[in-house]
Amino acid sequence: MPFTPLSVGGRRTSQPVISVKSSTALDDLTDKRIQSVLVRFFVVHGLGFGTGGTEPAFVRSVPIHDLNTDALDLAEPIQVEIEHYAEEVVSKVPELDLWASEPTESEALLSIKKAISDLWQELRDEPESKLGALPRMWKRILGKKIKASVAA
Amino acid sequence: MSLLNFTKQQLASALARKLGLDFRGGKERNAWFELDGKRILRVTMPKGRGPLPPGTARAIQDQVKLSTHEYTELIRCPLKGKDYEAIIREKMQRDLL
Repeated sequence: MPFTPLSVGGRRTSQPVISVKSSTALDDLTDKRIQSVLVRFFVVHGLGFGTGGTEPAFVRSVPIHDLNTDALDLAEPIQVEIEHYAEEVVSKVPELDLWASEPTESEALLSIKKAISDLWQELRDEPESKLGALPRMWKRILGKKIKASVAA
Repeated sequence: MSLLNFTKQQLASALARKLGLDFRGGKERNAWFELDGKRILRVTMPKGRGPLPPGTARAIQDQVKLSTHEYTELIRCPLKGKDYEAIIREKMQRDLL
């Protein structure tokens, strides 16, 4: 299959940096290796699943209305950030410094609900004098968000 | 060295040795960093062994309130426990914690 080396910086290189087909349209492109490279390029750069990347492929925010326990009820929704990475989905409540990591979004949501519930259990009966500024704030926030305990 | 290059064991070891964190129980293990008898920060460690996934690494970095450089130094070794305490105290003085 004929390829024409591109010139780089106005000079023709002895080792072609990029090769393109000389006179055919893209739909004629049948070279499996090139297709494979293109697919990999779009997966890595288009979806952000780069092998060395530390950034999420995409992020979204969802409200949760329930903590998945009969013991606690929410007075108002809590906003959860969902970050999709190549190998994990991380759910976060940044205002509470909480996170959970699971293979799927639904599992990550369930885990963050448990994390919220656990944090509330740890803070609920803790005297404010034993809490730093951040945990005091978390306790205040959760005190407003968590409506009531009902019998299981 | 990027955040990707650490293992869960390396991170857990650094947090235990330098911050005195004791992780136990549950799937995600939680521990409090305490200063002057007060709970200041809460850190969650994933269970298991192996490489630390990037999202998890970033989430824990947020919890320990360190820059990427400081976080890396904490795990690699140059940043000692008393250095960490100094960073946290400075943030507390600025009302960030």
